Amino acid sequence: MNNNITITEQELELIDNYLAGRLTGADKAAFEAQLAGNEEWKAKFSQVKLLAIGIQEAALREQLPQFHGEAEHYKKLASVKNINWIKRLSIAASVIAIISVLGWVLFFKQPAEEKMYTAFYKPDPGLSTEMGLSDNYIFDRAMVDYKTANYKAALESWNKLLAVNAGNDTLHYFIASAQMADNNPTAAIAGFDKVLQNHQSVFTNDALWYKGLALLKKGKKQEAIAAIEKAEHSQKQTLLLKLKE
Amino acid sequence: MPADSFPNSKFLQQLEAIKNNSEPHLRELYRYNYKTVEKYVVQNSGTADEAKDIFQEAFIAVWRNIQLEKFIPQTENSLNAYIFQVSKNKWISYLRSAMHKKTIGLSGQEEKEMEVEEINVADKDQLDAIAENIHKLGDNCREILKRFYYNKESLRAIAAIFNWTEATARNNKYRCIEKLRNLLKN
Repeated sequence: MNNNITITEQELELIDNYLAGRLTGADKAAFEAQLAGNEEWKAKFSQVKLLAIGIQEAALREQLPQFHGEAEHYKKLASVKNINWIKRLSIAASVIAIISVLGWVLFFKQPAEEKMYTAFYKPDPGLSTEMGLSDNYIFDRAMVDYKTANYKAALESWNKLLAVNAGNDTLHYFIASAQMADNNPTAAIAGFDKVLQNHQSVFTNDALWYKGLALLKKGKKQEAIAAIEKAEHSQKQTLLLKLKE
Repeated sequence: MPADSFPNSKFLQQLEAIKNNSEPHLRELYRYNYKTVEKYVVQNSGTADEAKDIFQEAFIAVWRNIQLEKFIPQTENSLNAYIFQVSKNKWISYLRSAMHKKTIGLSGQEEKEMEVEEINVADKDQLDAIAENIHKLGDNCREILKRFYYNKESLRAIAAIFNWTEATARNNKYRCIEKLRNLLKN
C-alpha cells in the first residue's frame, strides 16, 4: 500500500460518498468508469477503502470486551436460570400444594385440564438486565416490560427485533413466554415450536414444559402429555401422574 | 435445496445492519455464536480464555470479509456456520503451532478445514498498522473518524456535536485522515 500518493480533500469526499452508497446515476457511472480505467485513481480508492475498514475495525475491537461481557452474562444467566428452577419449583411445589388444598373450590368451575394448567403454570421469570451494560438495547428494555407484566409492550419490541433476527431462539422463547403470560396459548405454542427447531437451544426444556402447559390450557391433554414427557423438569412426574389419573 | 438456502429479505436487512455496524446486531451475532465456539474449543483441549481470543479474532475476520465482500452470506445459517468454521480453523492452526503440536491433538479427529478466503498480507499489514496508529491520533480525530466511518454519522450530525459548520467537519475529517496516513508512512 502506497501511503505517499496524494489524495485531496475533494477526492476523499468523492470516494467516501461512493463507499457510503451516496453516488447515484451518472455520478456513480463516472466514478466506476474512472475506477476501471485509471490505475492512480484505483490506488487512491483502494487506500481510502482500506483506511475506512481499518478505522471501523479498530472501533469494533473496542466494543468486543463489552460484547463478550454480555455474552458471558447471558451464558451465566442461562445456567443460573436452570439451577434456580430447582429452588423456584420447590417453592412453587409447596405453594401449589397449599393452593390445591385451600383453593380447590375455586377450580371446580374450570375444566380438568385448565385446573392443572392453573396449578402448574408460573410465567418464566425472564432474564436479569444490566442497563449499564445494555443502554438502548431493545431486548433488555423489553425484558423489563415483560418482568413488569407489560406483555404487549415487550411483544412489540421483541417482534421488531425478530424481524431482523428470525432464527434467534432467545427471542422466540421470550416472545412465546410473553404470549403465554398474555393468555394467548395458540401463539405461544407456535413460538415454542420455533425454539424446539433448534436442538441446541438452552431453552429446549423450558419450551417443552411451557408448550405442554399451553396445550393443557387449550384442552389438548394427549398432546400436552407428549410434550411434557420430553421435558426435563422437576414437576414433570407430578404433573404427568395427575394427567394420567 | 433446503429452504434456508434462499436469501430472504429479513436476513438481507440483518446483513445490511451488520455491514452498517449496528451495535445490537453485532452484539447479538457475537452472543449467539460465542457459546458454540467456546464449547468446541473447550472440548478440544482449550480453555474459556483461549476460546474468547480465538472467537474475537474470528469475529473480526468475518466482519472484515463481509465488509470487503469476500464473503457474502445468503442466510443466517450460512453466516453462523461461517463464523464457526473460521473460529475452528483458527483453533486448529493454534493447536498446530510449535508450542502445541507435540502434545495436543483434536480428540482423535482428522479435521478438514473449510476454505476461508483471507485478505492478502499487504492489506492485513496495513489494517494492523491502522489499528496500532489510530491510538496515536488525538481524541477529537479518533472521535470524528469513528463517528463518520463506524457509526455512519453524517458530516452535518458530526458538525452539530462539535459545534462546527459542515464544511469545517469535512475539512477536519480530511486532516485527521491525512494525520493517520502520515503516521502510516513511518
